[in-house]
Amino acid sequence: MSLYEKLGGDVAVDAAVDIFYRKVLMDDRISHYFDDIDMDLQAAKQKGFLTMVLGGPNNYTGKDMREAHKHLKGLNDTHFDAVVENLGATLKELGVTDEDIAQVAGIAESVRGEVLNR
Amino acid sequence: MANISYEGKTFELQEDESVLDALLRNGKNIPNSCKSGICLSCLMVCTSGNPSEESQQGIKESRQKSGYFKSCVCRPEESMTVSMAELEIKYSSSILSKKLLNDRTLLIRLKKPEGFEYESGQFINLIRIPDSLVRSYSLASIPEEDFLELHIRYYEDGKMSSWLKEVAEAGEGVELSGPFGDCYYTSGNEPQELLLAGIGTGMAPLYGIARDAVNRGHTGSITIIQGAMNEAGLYYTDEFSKLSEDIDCISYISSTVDGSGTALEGKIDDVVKAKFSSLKGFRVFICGSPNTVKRLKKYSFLAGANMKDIYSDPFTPAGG
Repeated sequence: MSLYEKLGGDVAVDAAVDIFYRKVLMDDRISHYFDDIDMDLQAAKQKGFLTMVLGGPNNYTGKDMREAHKHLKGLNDTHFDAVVENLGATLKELGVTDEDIAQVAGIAESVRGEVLNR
Repeated sequence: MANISYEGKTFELQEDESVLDALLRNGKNIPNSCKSGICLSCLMVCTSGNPSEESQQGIKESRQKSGYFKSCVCRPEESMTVSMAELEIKYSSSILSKKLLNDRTLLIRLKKPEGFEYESGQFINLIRIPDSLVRSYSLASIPEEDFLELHIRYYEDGKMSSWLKEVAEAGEGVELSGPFGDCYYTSGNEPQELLLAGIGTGMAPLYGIARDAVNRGHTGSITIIQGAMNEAGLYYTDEFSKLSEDIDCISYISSTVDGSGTALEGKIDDVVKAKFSSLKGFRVFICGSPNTVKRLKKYSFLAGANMKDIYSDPFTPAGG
């Protein structure tokens, strides 16, 4: 069973997006990247991302991830780490075990190269 | 650069140009108004190629699949073939009455066309008959009323608003299409607390939404906050005050940045923050200028409101 199913599927991911997005917006290290973005559009994208890292049904492609981030000036490992950290904290709040969080972080890690366009 | 094919001709897109702008630049007559992806008057259908994700936001899924997209916010990197969307149903109506609410706000009541159904807080496109000029306005009325009420921000150089103020009289025939938008009350959680915050003619949809919620048996508290620069910018304060007197669950606060009038002093953001340090569990409706909407939306979310419980309607001036 995927973590996506364990957490409760689509509805659970909606709740997770709310927690995750709020953390990201309050994180001074990365919040400025989200200032000029339509919140609904962004939440929809984050839902796609969370669904993917939780192993749910998704049509994620690395190309999208690269395209979506390549215009962000100065984006580097620190920013990526901050997002992974917020992701971990979100899952912790939802009662996910450390072991499962590590697994999710590993999946997130697999897109680092695309996000940072290298 | 990508090409746009339309009516058998092909046009080259310039750097960062929208499909709409490219067609207009080439002399094509495409209806449009807000140019920000809100009013849907420039809706087109893509028959080959892919419209951008942004250009399909807010369009019904079934229509997205048929290729409907908003040409004003579509800046494709690959070529597309497009055609005009099937015309929306137009309803015939006429002006019943008009009145100035303050020096920049005009109240217009229209005859409600036969068969026209809407949710309070949605908007319509008002169409001037001789030249098909289109502008979007939110509905302040509720479905139980036999008229449609609009609050119109008057601009001296505004084509539609100055015509409505200076020229059009009661009895004047107009057309309308719609309704559009998803900023309205839905039943199913009557005890939920509601916050309705608006500036300018953003109060129009809120006036409809508050009354509609009550008519549908809403029991949770409903707080209406109106913001303006100064006393002269407030309007309908008597109507909102009367709502709060007549209906137990409704309270009404008006505020002005300079503190003039009997209102609370401060920017609407600060008034909302002072009144509600937490919005956890709230349903929030925010209407007004795009920047204010954006800030209050972000605040509401950070203060704990769920994303799905935040409804907003940014009013974008059409520019002339």
